[in-house]
Amino acid sequence: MDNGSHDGTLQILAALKEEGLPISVYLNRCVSFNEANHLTHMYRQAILLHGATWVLCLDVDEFVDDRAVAGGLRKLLSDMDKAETGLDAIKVSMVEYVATREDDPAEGVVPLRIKRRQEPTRNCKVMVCGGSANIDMEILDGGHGIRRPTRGTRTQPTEAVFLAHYAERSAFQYLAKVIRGWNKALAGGSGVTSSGASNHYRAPYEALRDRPANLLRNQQYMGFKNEQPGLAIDPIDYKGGPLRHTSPQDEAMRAVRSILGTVQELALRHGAILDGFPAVRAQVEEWDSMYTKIC
Amino acid sequence: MSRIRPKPPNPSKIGDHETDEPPSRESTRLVAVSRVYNEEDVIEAFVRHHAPMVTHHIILDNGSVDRTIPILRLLAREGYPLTVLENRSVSFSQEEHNTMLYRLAADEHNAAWVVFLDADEFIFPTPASVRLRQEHQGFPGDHFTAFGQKHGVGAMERLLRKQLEALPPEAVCGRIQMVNFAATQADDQSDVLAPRRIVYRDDEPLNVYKCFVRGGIDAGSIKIEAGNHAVRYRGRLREGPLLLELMLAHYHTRAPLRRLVGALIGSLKVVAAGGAELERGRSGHYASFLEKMMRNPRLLLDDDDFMLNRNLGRDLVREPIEYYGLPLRYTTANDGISWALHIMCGYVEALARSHGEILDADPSLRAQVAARSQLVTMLIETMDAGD
Repeated sequence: MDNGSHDGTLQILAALKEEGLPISVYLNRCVSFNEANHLTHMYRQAILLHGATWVLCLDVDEFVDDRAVAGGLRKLLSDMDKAETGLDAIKVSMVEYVATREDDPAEGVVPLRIKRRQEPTRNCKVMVCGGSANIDMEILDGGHGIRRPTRGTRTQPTEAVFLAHYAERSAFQYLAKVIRGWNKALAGGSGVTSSGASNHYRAPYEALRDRPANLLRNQQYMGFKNEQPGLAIDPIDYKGGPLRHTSPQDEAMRAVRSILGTVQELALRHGAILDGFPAVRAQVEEWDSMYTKIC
Repeated sequence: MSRIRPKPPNPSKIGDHETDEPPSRESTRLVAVSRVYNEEDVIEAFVRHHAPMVTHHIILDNGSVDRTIPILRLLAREGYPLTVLENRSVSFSQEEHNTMLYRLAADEHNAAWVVFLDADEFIFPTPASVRLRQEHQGFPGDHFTAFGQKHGVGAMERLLRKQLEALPPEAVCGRIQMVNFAATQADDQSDVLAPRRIVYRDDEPLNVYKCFVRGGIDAGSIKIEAGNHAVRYRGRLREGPLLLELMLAHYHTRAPLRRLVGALIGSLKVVAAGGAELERGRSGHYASFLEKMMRNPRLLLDDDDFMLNRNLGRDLVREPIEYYGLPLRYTTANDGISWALHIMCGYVEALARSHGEILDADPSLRAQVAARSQLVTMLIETMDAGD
């Protein structure tokens, strides 16, 4: 599910399709925070269109690390099916991988380039049982949990599999993510901001907005701000082939395109609401005609 | 601070003037009105420069997130006759704001003439006008910028007033011609006073004019067009006679990043206003910046001609205007990239908040927008592995 990328993501996916990789790509241009609904939609699509027995809710910066399981993740899930555990989902711990100055900037494969990690966090993502009996399952925001409207769910953590999380691959990528993240929450209205789901973006966003020079001139911040002593060197096994469609990174420019894409989409949505709902336009014009006297 | 809104048209005034000739006011009170947005680099010079020429200056800030408003507060504290209003509209609504400003100037400040100025526009006497005076008065020197030195800055107010009073009584407005000044590599970058730093102008003035509008016109019969280039009076577009002895120096390209950010936000504001504004081509001169930046930002950011103010293909002449204001006290140099980031964040946030407030205000709309946001388009589908 692409939420309106402007940075070449869709072109790369199209090229992977041409290679024959079994992927489906959907486009949704939702500018506000609506993650749970989209995840649930995709979960159901996976069952209905692809007969999924397990659905892995993965963000693009999360890579499965199944080194600890003989036979890998497929074997683990297959064994669980056979054991008829009655589980609805397993919870997989996330492990934060941290960009450091040791990384080889010429290495384009992120899990090969970023090798140091922190200890596993309490953050978990779900891998959810599929099948038509579970079609009423709902995936929660972030893919961190599940619920059913009519009955309870059974989940169990696993320590056999982890999700390697490469959230901050460069300073510019992180800054763009923060700007997008908090403004998407704002665009969703007070219900979204007060829910706290995007609060982790708020402080870094406000620091960037109010003191950009301090951050941009801070070499540590713009370099490897999360680097610290004691990070374990523990690269995952990258199971894909060499990259063919990923061009050398120009992170600053990618960030510019990404931010502008988000703003343009937001502006388009804003304009579409005004066009589509005359009463709203009248209300907005009423707001626009209000002035605050400063002095 | 208090929330205000413009007064509704005064019914007693509507229809008072059955002829096309607008009313006249006895005392020539010149009131400047300006809409500004993130102008911290030029707002102080702008206010100080025009203060000797006008009775009052009304400034509408459209949601600046830089130091524009703090600087205006400081100038008001110094005693400059200012009214500063704030409006945080994230979309394009120039005509409504311009017309509101006109009414405020005419009704609340009893303006005989309302002088529409943007923050990057500085009034100066035309070279012909000054040379003429120099010849007549034997002023030694051949540079027109010495007008104020010779005659005192009060002479500018007299010149402006005289020009306006000389307009025929049937004229609803007068127009002043603009000339673009261009930042060049010759500029002294350490000088924060834009009209002194930027010394080159286009050889030929623009075929673009700004309007100065007569006060006292019934509010229901006049509408100020976007850009203040013309007025619509009793349904007819008016541009008015040309003020021959004055021009507007236009410093729209003070710094490349400022120009770029201004163009991006200008373009986005039109998009945020909906299809009608887009179809009217409001973003025409901005849209190419957004398109290039979306496609490949390096098309502009690595373009030395753009980023280094090379001004290729322009015939420039070195002829700075004279600055009539007091020395600057509050304007400082800023870091271009940080400034740009700060300003862009400010606009994105305002737009996102507006979107959120719209959804908050109407639960049924939220439901409809949520339903729309569920729309998904299938872009790519291939067979499952092993099929």
